[in-house]
Amino acid sequence: MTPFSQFAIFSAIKIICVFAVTMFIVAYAVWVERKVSAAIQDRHGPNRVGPFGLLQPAADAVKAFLKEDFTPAHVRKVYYWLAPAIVMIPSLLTIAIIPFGSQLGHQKMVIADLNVGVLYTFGIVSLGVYGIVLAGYAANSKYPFLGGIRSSAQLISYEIAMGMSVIPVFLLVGGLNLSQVISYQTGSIFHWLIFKCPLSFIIFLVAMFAETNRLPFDLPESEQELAGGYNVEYSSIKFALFFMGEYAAVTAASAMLVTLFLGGWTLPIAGLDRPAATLGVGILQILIFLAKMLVVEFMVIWIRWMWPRFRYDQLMDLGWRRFIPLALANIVVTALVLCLVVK
Amino acid sequence: MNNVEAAKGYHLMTGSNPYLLIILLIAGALVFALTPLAIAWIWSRKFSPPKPGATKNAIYECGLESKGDAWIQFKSEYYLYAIMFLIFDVEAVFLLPFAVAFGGLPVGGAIAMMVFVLLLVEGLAWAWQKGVLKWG
Amino acid sequence: MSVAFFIIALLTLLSAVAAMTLRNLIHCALALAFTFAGLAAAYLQLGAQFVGFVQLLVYVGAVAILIVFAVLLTRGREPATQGIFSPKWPVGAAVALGVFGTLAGLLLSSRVLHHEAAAIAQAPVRQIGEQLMTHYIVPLEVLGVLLTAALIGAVILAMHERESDSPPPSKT
Repeated sequence: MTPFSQFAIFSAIKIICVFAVTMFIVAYAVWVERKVSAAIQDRHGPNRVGPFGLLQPAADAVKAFLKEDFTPAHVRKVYYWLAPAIVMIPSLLTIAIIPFGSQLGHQKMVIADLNVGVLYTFGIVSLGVYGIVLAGYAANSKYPFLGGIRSSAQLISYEIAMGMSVIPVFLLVGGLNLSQVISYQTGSIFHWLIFKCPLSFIIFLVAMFAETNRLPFDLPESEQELAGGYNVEYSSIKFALFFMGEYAAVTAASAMLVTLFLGGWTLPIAGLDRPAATLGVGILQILIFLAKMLVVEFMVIWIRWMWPRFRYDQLMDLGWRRFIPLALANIVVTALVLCLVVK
Repeated sequence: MNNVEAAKGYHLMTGSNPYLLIILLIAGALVFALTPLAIAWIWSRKFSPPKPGATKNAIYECGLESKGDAWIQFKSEYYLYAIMFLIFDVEAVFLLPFAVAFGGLPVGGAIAMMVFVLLLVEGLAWAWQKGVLKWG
Repeated sequence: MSVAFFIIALLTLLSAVAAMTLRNLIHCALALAFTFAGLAAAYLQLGAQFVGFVQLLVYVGAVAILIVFAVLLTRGREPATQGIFSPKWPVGAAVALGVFGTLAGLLLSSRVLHHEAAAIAQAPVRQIGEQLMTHYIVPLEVLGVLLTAALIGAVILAMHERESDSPPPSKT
């Protein structure tokens, strides 16, 4: 087998596995969301389809397909069809550069180990605005249009906060490659960047909620004001795609948070922070990564049911008048401290 | 493909040039996102032809009849925020290489970057003071 | 020059033509976004990772979004009825030719073209950063001033609008 075909086969396997796992997580995140909300509100949640309602995601998918695929008369058809797909794609692409394990055999457990790593992430994340703006424009109706515009203004505001918040991380690490970020965090739990740049972590975390349209920042979908926001004219599978897109974005953002601040696939015990020598350790490290990611994702779901929604002016104020100045100050202070310590 | 070429191709795609993977991934993501749409379209053609009606086709506005054009005039603030986004986006782009190179920079370089940051902070502070950062 | 380059170039040029000729402004803006993305792909194909993704981030993710915003925020009109060519098209053509000539002249006379080996080598981000903070400090600071000026200009425009009650002029 030539190296090239070997490379192609392994890459294809990795891509398929990552997509499959992501979609599984997305499907069950919805189930967890419904169960958690039920527990918090003292209800049962889904419990009819399969044991504990575990087959509910499958039932939902079948339902989404079987519903009438209805296109309202007043929409702009091409954009109306494309927007759900465009919402879905960026989240899937951001997962490409996240190292989800060290190695299995000689295969690195990352789809594309880019040197400019995080720049790729922000480039792709910035494309997420298109899906929402187009959905709002395509619907050609007041609420979706307003929802789309609002949402995109929110996304771009918090994109800045998010981008600025991670600069101190790279001041410390000295490289944009995510594998480098992870190897910087090995050795001791206090090398994790959550302890070294706590402010960055907090800003990133909050911006992550805003970027994925989750409560307390789910303004674009606020039912009371906008009757559902940019996706109100959508039904059946197209609505399901928006819905899945949100959870895929949460999954991708959680993976990014784990990689940047929580040590990625490493654990500072029993040599689990070194690249795996055996298959068993390699698999264990992938499981560690998944476990960390699911904990973050669970927290995202939990917070949704604990917090009220912000008002739009509060949201923009928080972004522009609190987080961006704070992130800039964080950069300057980190640089000064580094200057004093190192030089 | 002879061995030299194969090795070169391998190097190009795994080392410095991993775009083939990205292209594969984009293709994968496209297929992934478009397949459900395609299946739904075929399904609706074969098994559940649309049954439009006047009410069903109407614009969704909580049951009230829609008045006027959907394309309403928006506050100019949205545009202002978009411009500020662009400016700070460009700044972030310059901060990234600065952050990476910081370890090996002379003090002068670091100070230059701080001046760059402070210039933009000044712009932000001025906008804040003029009250344009306040929504509504 | 490879097949990939020609595909990218063709798509970029086609979308650029679409951006100029389509009648619906939203279509134009999206075609322009596609052109920017094509340029990003061309940079990546040439091995300039940093510039490629910056192009994606700044142009596709910010400049094109700004244009889409500008189109959406101003009240929608019927597509323009006059021809694609403005009556003053010779002026535009002259300006375009002038810019193209200047750039081409500069490129051809610069030393970059004679150092093919150096051009192929990839500049890592660290190197870009070091060059930026040492050799190119003055352009960097000028850029900072320019960005601040843009910010202040935008704010002043917005303040004018807030003071006057007349509907804001369309900005595209």
